[in-house]
Amino acid sequence: MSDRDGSPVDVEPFTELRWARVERAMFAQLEDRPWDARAYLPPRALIVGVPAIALGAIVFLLVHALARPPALPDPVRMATQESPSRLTVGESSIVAAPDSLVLIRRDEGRGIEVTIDHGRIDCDVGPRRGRAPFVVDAGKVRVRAVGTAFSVAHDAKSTSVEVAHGVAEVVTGGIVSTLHDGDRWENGATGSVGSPEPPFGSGPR
Amino acid sequence: VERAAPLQSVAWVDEQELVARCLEGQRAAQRQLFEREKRRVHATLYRILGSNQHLEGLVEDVFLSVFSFLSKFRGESSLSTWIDGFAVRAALGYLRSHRGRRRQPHLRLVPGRTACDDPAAERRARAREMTRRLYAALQGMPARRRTAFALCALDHRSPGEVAALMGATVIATRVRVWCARRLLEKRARVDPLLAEYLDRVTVSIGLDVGPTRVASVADGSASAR
Repeated sequence: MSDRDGSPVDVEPFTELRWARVERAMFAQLEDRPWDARAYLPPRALIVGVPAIALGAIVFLLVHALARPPALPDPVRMATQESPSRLTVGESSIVAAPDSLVLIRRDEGRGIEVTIDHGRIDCDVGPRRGRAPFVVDAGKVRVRAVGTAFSVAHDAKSTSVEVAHGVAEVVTGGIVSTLHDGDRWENGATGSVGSPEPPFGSGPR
Repeated sequence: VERAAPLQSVAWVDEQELVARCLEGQRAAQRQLFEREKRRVHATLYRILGSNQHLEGLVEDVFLSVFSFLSKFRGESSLSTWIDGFAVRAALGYLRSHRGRRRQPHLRLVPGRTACDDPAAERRARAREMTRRLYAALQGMPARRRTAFALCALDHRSPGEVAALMGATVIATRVRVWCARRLLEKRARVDPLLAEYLDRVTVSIGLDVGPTRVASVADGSASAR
């Protein structure tokens, strides 16, 4: 019966009739079709499906990676001459007017810091609640966006801030001024401009 | 100086010849191979699965696989061992596809209720009942654990041989056998007949689990084995 003598399991042998049946069935199958390894290959669905899924995943990852904006250098330097330039940082956009020099730093903890050397920028900033702060440094003046569209102009003589809508805080010499829709701040003077001109490059909102 | 070619055993040469003839499509050779290996394959399957239920189809599948892959046989192991690999894979496949479908009820042997007073017949009936209980206890185990245990403990193969057949490491095989044994010993604590049977199953796997406490249902006492 078996060459494994002493096994605690007594194998119940097949009767000759059963062996004959097995033999007949098996050789009938061998006769019927030239047996080949194809019968033991995985189903066609697996052969086609698995590579297709893998290929799809690779394509998706590639497209996803290519669609992502390239990582910005830190800091970003925007120097414009005759035409304006726009930069998008996350959900915020910064438009530098012609003849401006701006440095933009992005930091996980400190948020977005924009420094104007000279010129003018128009910022469109999403609400900052729960997000990293967005601040603009213009000489001794610091503007902190709360969630707004505003413009900052700065040169060697003066600094001005205009809020198109939303709220921005201007900090200078330890004094904090809060500007609302249509407010304008210039060299320490705060006042409404009534109907300010739309900031450069901001367009209709 | 001409070196003599390494001697091959007569059995090895015969085996290679038989394989070559089978590959040429000689039906007589294929029948010879089937005749030579069929009982061995059947016994291996039986010891893993514990009954002849579905074994006809499985034996058939094993030999169909053997003949379809015979061209891959390189003679690195004996033909019988190579064929055993197909039997083990077929048993594993069967266990995986039938796991949890058939649960044998946990029956108790009632002494003195055999059909005749022949002691030999009673012994045989008792042995059958023990085997039935063993396989009932093995029923819920993972396929690989159960197969490793059956091949080591019931088919008396070495852990190395079982590891090779199952495509596993020796350590993994030893651990599987040990786990199976532990589980069976747990079941045996409330089943003296299984405990008695398990006592006969000596497994040399190098993992001593210590003495087993077996509770005797009859007198309620416990004895160390």
